[in-house]
Amino acid sequence: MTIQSRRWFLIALTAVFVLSLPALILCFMALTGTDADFNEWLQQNFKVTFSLVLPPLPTILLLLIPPLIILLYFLKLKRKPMQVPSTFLWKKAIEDLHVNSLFQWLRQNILLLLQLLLFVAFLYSLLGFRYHGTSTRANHYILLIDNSASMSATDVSPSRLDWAKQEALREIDHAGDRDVGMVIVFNSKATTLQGYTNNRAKLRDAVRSIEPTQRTTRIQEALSLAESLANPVRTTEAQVMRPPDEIEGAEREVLPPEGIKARVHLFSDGRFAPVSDSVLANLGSREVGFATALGNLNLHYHPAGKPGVEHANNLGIVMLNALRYNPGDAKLANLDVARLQILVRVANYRPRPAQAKLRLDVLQNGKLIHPEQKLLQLPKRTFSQRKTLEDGSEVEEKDEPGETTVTFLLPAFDLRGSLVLHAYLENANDDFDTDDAAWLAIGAVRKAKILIVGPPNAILEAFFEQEAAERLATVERLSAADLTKDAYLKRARSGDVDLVIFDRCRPEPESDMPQANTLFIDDVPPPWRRGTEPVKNPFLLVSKKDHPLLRWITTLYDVGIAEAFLFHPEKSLDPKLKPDFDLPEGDPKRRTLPPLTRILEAGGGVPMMLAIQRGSYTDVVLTFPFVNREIPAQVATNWYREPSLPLFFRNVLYMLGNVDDAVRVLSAQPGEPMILRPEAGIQKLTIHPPGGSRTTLERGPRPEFTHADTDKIGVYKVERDDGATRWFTVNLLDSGESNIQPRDEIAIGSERVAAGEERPQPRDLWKWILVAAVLLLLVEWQVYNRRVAV
Amino acid sequence: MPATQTPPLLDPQFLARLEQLELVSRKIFLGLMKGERRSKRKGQSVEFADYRNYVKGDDLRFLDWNLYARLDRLFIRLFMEEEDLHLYLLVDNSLSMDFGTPTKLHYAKQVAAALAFVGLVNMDRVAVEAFSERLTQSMPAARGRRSLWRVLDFLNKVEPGGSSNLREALRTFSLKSSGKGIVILLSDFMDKGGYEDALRYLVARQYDIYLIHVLSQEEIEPELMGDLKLIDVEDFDEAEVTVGGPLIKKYKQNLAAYRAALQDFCLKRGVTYLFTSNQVPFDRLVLTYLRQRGLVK
Repeated sequence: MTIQSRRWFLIALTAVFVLSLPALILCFMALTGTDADFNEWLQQNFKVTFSLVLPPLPTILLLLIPPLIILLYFLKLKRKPMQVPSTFLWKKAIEDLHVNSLFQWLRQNILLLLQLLLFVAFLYSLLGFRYHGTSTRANHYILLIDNSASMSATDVSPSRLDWAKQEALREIDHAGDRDVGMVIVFNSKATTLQGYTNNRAKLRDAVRSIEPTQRTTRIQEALSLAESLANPVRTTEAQVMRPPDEIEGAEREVLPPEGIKARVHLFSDGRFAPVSDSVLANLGSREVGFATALGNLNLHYHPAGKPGVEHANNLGIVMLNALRYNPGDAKLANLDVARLQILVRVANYRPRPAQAKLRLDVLQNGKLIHPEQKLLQLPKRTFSQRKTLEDGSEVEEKDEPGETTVTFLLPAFDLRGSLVLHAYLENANDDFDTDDAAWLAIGAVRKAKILIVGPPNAILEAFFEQEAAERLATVERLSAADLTKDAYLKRARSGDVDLVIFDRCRPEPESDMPQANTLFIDDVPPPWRRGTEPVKNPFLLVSKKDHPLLRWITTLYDVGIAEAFLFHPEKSLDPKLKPDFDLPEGDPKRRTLPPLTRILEAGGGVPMMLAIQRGSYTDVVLTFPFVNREIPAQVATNWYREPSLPLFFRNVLYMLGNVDDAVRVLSAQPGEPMILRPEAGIQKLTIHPPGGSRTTLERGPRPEFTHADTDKIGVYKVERDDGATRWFTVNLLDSGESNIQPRDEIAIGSERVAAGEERPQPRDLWKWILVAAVLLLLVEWQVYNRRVAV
Repeated sequence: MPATQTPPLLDPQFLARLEQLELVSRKIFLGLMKGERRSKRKGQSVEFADYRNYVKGDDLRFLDWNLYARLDRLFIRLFMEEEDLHLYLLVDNSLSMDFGTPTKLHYAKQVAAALAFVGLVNMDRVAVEAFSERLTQSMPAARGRRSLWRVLDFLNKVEPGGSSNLREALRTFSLKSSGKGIVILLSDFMDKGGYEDALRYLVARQYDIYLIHVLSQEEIEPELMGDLKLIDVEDFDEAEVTVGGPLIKKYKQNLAAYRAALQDFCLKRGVTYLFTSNQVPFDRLVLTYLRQRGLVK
């Protein structure tokens, strides 16, 4: 190569590089997802947009081609030196083949340059530039993508969600220039990732950003998001705009907002509960006047996953529960140490019997202390297709998985040690992993902190001083005189207690009401005043039968009460505060009565026991005393002789005192908020999710802590500020998700939407032809150079 | 190639066969000494050539008295004079000749030795010149069978070296050599400067010229393949080639064309051209081909 040709070569190479530079930058932007703004700018200024037409990995591989070409070129240049008598005739031969040196140089390098140029052209074609000219009308389309747990199934490679995303991207690719699309992702909740836009890059980014979740599936919310623009509800606007002095016969015509027809592409496995008509009643389409639930929405269902029962390959744990095992005398039962009976239900969704090994690990503070295992023989799934009955109606015959319930009887463990059970299937060999394991946290006994304010009360003392009650509650006592002192006020305001029992007394100002649930005996909380009108010998009638305070209480008819006071929700209001309640509507100072629940009544609808909501707290009012107000030695009721009184107090402890006596399972489904009720006085909880970063929760005005970030299944560790550690678990345990067979059709109310037929989508053959052309050219280059000199 | 490994230039049996040969020149040249061949010059041999009128001063011994008696006029009898012949052997010893098995140079030296022997036996004056970019080594003219050792000794001492410059070498030779005679040029003619000018110098001097074009088998049928950087041994010129069928074909076509052009050039100027490869046994070349071409008989 002469110096001149070398220079030419460098110039040409630089030119090709400069030519390829914009494409490389755009490629990089598209790969890193930073192309949205630039695309918008391009579209505004040049009516041009771009997007990669190949997935990122093939694109990166393609970008490696030019270095490869150059490498091959240089490898080819490495020639074996050989001495010859004279190059005279060889040069002559070369010269004869190549007329002159420029042509020779071109011969040497033109193919390389051509290939690089071809690559550059290819690169630009990969960027899928589109000219956005004018088109006649814009269509609306909505991409509804399911990212619930079952979409992580791997029956289609790499997963159903990836398939759904690819299909959704394809829909975007084939939309017209003026078509506007929307992206909604749904699981147990629905989120609009991208509102209506015709910017394809934004839609693509939205689709690409979808990550799998372990949540369950509900489609209602997604449907209502989708139809918000399609079926706009007539608002009261029409009435508001109507002038008051409208002349009859010349009413102003108010046109309802026009709905936008949209094509909805649902990418899902259809494993959500059939949407009933009652649920759909909330959708706007009915209100707008459509006969069908979907109204302007034209739903196309793209089932993700391999259809057919023969491809359903999943075993899953659908239930995990623990029971206290008390074969002997219940009185001897120790709340702290107990044997537990663990029930695990495993379902087989395969159309053939399956075998699996179920293991159960008992963990204490994260360490394995007791393993169990059982080999399961699971029956096959019974499945039958839909049938058309003679009268034309269709029924779906039962589809039941092969289920087995396994019982493990564990040895006695100290339940105060916060046990965690981990049940999992070994070698399930199925397409869906999320349901192959489940966890269960056995909560430790949670004692209630109770403050009793008032004069001595033998009946109360008799209950709270017994051993069983002491295990559930710690009791402190204050006299009625302490109500105005710090001893009470500090406790009341700190939220340090779970339950305050005001026995024949009450805090006078409303602001002194404790940050806790309360039980008022023979008194009422402010803003009411204790009624003065007595009710003699009332007869207790149950008005709210299934109230938790009446749990297990069967009879109250033989409870005799000497005297109660008459309580009337409005008349009994404090006269000083009553005007606030009587203010006209719309007045910012106006107060409304809180919700009241009458639990017990006397004859004539006189309330005897009622629950009043005070923010997140409940105040329960008994309108009669246990002990005579005036004569403390005299009991005012014979209830203490009935078995129903300890049961009532137990219910008070459990409901108002938030007692937790172990074996109460602390578990939630992914995405569901977990409500934690630690003992009163705990101000801060630190939650360590499985494999995630910790979250710290501070106590708010409510007695419970709510942890919403429960997207991952597994064991969540809860560190309390008193140094104790508790656990709760998040499990799928949803047979709807575990049944991964995609539905052939989905039911939206009374409508049935069948899986869309495979649409003959235009495949981008030109890309592959172009690839083939490049490969051919490479081969040709090689062959050409094998046959001809240099 | 070292001299010890090379076969002797001539072996006795071959010499015995060569003794029967003699060089034939198509031209008759003036020699300096009486030799064993006819000379253009009329002289004292026994072979009658012609008559001419007597002029004053002629040697009276050559008067034809019989004719004087018949015609009464004086004529001088002219006889063909037998003279010796100049045989110039020009051997190309440029580096390009050091190729092939045996090397082209060795082959050329063998041919030169054989022809020198033929010349010496016939009492011709044999001079040998080796040349590359110029005349590098010269052996003064020798005569007679006894001088064979000198010729062989000289040839054995000729080593490859330098690059070809036929033009310069033959120009020097034509200026330097005085007598006319037979010039046998042994070379591969791989001179990028061309051969035309060079040969014109010889043609101008009216030598009886024989070109023996020696190439090695590797040059005639190259067995190269693949991506190569060919390096010229003489000037280190490089040629990057990817050797394949078409290139080989083209090379052969070029070689044939080159030979044809050389032959054509020679034919037009009365120069005898003989192409040979180092694979042709040199004794056959001398005993058969050269005889066919009339250089020896």
